[in-house]
Amino acid sequence: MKKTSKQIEPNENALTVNNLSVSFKTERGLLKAVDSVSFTIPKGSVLGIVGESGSGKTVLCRTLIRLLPESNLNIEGSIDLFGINVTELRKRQLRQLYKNVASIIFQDPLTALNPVMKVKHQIAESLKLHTETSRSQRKQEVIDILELVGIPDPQIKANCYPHQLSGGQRQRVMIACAIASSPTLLIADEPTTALDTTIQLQILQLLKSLQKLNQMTLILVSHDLGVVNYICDYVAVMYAGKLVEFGKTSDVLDHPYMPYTKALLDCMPSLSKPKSHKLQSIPNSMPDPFSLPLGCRFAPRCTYVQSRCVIESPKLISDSSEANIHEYACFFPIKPIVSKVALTSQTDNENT
Amino acid sequence: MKFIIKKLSILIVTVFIASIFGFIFEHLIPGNPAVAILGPQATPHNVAVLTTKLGLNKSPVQQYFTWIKNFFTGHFGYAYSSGDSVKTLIAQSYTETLELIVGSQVLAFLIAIPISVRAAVKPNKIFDKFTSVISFGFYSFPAFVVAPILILIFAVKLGIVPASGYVGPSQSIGQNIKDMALPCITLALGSFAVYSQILRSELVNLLKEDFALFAKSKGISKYKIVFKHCFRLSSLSLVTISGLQISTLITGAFVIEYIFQLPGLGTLIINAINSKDYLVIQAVSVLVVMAVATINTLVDISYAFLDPRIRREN
Repeated sequence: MKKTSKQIEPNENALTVNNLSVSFKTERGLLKAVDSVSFTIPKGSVLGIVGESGSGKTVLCRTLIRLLPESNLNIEGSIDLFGINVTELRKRQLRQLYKNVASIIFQDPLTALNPVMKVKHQIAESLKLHTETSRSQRKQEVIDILELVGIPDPQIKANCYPHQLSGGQRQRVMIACAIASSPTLLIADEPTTALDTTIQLQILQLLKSLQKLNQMTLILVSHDLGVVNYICDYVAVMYAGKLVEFGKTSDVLDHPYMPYTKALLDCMPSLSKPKSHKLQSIPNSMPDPFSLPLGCRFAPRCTYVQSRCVIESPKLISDSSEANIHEYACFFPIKPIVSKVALTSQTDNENT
Repeated sequence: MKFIIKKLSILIVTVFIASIFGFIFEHLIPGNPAVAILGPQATPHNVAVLTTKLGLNKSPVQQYFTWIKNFFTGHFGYAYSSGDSVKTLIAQSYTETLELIVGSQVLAFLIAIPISVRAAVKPNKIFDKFTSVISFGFYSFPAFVVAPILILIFAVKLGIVPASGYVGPSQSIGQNIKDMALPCITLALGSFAVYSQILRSELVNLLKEDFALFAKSKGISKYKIVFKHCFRLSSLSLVTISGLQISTLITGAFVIEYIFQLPGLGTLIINAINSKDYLVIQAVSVLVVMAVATINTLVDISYAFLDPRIRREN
């Protein structure tokens, strides 16, 4: 069995995002959906992007392959995907990228699959663009892929329309469409949100096994930290368009530095906690993207807020004390040992 | 199958009701047809004789049932005014009307489809704005305004086509096309405006849908997404509109026929109304209702073929 990130050399990067900003021209003015995001992930790893609705995670992941309609869009910064400079690609080159390198899965398979097109044609479409094969051969390949994604009776289901399948099967069909072009990068935009809890796990297991089998790099967008913890090697936490924490999943979820990440974790219901344990929620909602706070964007909702947070915007900084990269954007990170030192030095600075 | 039978039975009921209404409404037209046939100098005796001969002294219900029985056996009766068989009159004129409607619709689609596809692929760009201004222009000009302008330019100034007249396709296809060109174009321009705007907005919306975005992520070019993914779905509303459009076009065609002096059903019915020729009016109007109802039934049935989801619901 092929292993993920551990065997891969650190300089073999799948994706390097540098200072990426995405803004939409709207009637109310420029809306910055993604603001100066930078991160790097190695080949064959699984990255989870988490955040509330409207945090910019979907825009970010769609921008990674330039899928958004670009008439009212402004992209700044650079995206390096397997050595390809995605931001510089022309339309035709972009199609080549879709045909051979990158694929995406959407949240709701009912709207993402064409309702009036048979399943087999929708899969064959990706296949046809990727490889030159004869018709009969392609027919067999479609059946093979359906079998691979765990569709029972693939011969029969291939002739179905999407509405004739169950929700889980539809999501499997969408995955089949996406992997038919054997992509090296697969982006899954909340692939389990529209599904029953019982099916969610099956789909995640399928994604994980396909990722290992094809040595794909997988980017999973989710607002479910449980899902991220289950499948991801890295996690990126987004808040109001900013990347606020990034690192190995175990580091970030076990020891979150950024109060927002901690707040997200506190919001998770857990079966192991006693019933008397009160479920937390983050008070208020995300700031209006047209009138963002001057300082840290999470400051108005943060329980650890200090005066500096309101006036100054924290940059993403790396925690040098650890061997693994663990970045966070916070002046007063929650650190069991280091935090006190940081806190005093920060306050000292403010006093002088 | 059950779905089709259901639709067909609705069709039969519609035609039946329409024939009753047609019957009632035209009997509301003032004046006695016997007087109309014989002229103002007719003696009361002659009028009474003719009234009896035509069956006009019977009760309206009896008149209706006599007529409906004959209608379905193909006997539409004889025109009061000329004495010609109504069947022959209709047979002489329906080809021209059919040619006008079919020709104009084919022409409208041929112009509308490529233009709206091009406009939808790059919405709000120059081409899109230009074509939508033009089609709104055509839409707002009624046919009786467009027709004289076209006649003035193409028939009077350039002399490419005749201003009026009609030669059947069996006599001379070339002359037939020339004769039908202007009437077809006049009707087509209005329909083109409707079709291109509907198709354009439909395609623009469909291209924003998730499945179009998903198709894009497979590496399919935009035109292919339009033709392979969006066209079948957009054809649903296009078929609906064209069903409605053709219904109004039948009456629109009557006006066009009058302007271009084409011997079609329109000219026939207008003359019949002027001479209070009940049987002709009745036969033509019920035939038109049948045609409209049939077209709408075909539209309903075509939904099931175009969208597999409707098939299941029924």
